[in-house]
Amino acid sequence: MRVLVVEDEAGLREQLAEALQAAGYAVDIADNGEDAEFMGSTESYDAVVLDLGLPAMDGLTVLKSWREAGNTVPVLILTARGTWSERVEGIDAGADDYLPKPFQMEELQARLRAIIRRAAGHASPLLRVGPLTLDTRTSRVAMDGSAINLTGHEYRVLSYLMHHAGKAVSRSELAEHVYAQDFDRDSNTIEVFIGRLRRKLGRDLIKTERGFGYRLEAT
Amino acid sequence: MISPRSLSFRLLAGALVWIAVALGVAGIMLSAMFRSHVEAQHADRMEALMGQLAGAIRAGPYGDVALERELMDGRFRQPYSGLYWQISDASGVPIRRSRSLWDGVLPLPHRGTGASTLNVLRGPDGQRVRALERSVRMPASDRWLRLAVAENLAAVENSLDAFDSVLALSLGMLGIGLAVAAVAQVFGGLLPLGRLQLALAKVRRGETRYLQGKYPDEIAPVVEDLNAVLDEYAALVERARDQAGNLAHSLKTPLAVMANETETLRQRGHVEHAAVLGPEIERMRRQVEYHLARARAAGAARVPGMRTPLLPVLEGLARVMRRIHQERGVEVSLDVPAELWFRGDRQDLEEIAGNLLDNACKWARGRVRGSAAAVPDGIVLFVDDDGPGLPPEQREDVFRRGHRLDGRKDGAGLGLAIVRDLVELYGGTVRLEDAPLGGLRVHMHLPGGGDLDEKD
Repeated sequence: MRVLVVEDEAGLREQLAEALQAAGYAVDIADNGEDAEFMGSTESYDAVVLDLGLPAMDGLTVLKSWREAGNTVPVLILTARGTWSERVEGIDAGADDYLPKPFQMEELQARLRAIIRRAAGHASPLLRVGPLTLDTRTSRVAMDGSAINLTGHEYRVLSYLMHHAGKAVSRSELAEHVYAQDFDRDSNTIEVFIGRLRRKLGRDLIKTERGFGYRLEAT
Repeated sequence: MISPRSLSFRLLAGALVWIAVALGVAGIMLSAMFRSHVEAQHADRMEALMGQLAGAIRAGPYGDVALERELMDGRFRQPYSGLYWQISDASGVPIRRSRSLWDGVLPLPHRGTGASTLNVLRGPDGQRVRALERSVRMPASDRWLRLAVAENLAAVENSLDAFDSVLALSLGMLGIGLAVAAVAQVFGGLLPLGRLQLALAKVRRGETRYLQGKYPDEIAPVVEDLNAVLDEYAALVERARDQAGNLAHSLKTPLAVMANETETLRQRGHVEHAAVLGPEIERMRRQVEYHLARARAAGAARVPGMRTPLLPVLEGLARVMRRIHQERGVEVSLDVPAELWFRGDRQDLEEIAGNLLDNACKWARGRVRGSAAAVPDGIVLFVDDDGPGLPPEQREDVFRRGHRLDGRKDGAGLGLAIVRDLVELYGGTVRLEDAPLGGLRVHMHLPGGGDLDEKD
């Protein structure tokens, strides 16, 4: 899962990036509205944490411009002002959730997981495909009830496939959602992660769509 | 009806006193002039009659007195006709008198010889008469006679009375006419002030933002100044709010950083440090939250001319609630007539209703319902949930600042305290009751709002 963190306050931006990376996300950061608008329009994110008070272009304008362009990326708004009219405006502009500052990091993570899950059409925080379960709250993966250890990249690949279970996902799409922007992306490495996941989970769950990508499906 | 301290009263009282005094003085003077004119005429007539009488007297050789000829006026021969003459000797004993006196005598005061006198006497048949009296010396006999002519005053007085009543009637009519004109002038002249008063009341009730209408040159500048003051006040509140918002922004982000850093400290094993910092940061956060909410609200309740439709605000808030409490699956419904409005500022209403709805959503099992209705002196607003409710003895506590019933629910624990502060700032009341849905109901009364249609 790959998220964009837009926050102009350096201290908070770093904390957010650190915490989200620790939770298994690939994190891109932007410190102003214009960059954020550009990144959100050109890159594929699974969610955006968007501060409203931004230099160059305020968060609400950024959000509106994405929504007008048909970008439905889930957006969690952060704001320090916290007036209700601002919340109404934010939600009406297409935000998926709203968190007033100061907030607790756990609260932010819970809300972020929820909007990602909902965007993929899942009601429960516990994703299940056949014998495989992924708890978005704890980032734990289990096969028939027994825990499976995954590296960060493996987790991101599997999490993306599980959120989009039953759908074919291309290699490049996977790569976009697994790596942060500054990472040297190579869709061949995705094959490596898929290979490792198949070794840990068994060969049947992740199917290869020839010439395109992969599909996670219980047989 | 008209207060003694009103302008209308002053102007009217002044005009009426002036009209009364002027007409009164005019009446007295006209009446006096007419009387002196009538009396002068009367005196002339008496004088003429006296001349006739004196000219007609002939003294006989033996000292008797006779009239050479009858006086012309027939009334002298008609009993009690009102016109009389009498001739007395020097000692005042009547010698001859007109036939009209019949068996009566003019009771002339005894004045000796010489001067003419004009006296009012009680004449025959109880008539009040005025008598001109003169002593003349008969040339032949060197004898003094006292001549008198008298006329009943009734005729004179009747004509004076008739004149006075005509005078009073016409002056009275004139007075009434002037008074009506004064009333019309005062009320007509003060009409723009009445309109200004109505316009002000409208602003006060929140029906209009500014004083509206065209006013005369004398008060138009006042109206313009008042509108400017209203504008300025609104701008002042707006500025204060902006500053509060900026302060919020500049304080809350560092607070978030500190809180997160504290969490990191805890995770890295510096538990005691985190335990000291955590509650302090939390306290700062609450203080900032509370005072910013107060700052946002403080000015607005006193800005007149604010009027916020209820439904759009509540609908916006409901959309937010559905979104931010989506995870808990709370169904938010509204039953608010579209024509209801709140006499006050939009942000304040949002703060009140937002906090109440948010709180209800946090505690609800699955349903939150907001409803409102117009009452004679304002509006009532209910926010109901189907949560666990609250025992009556705890209901007062939740309005206290910083009180939190349950640490598990997030939020500053300030929501209800801010709501109560705001509601009271607007002169309203808020209390907790049992909700029909099974949980808690917030019952709020806000004065001054009502039906949008009622305004005219």
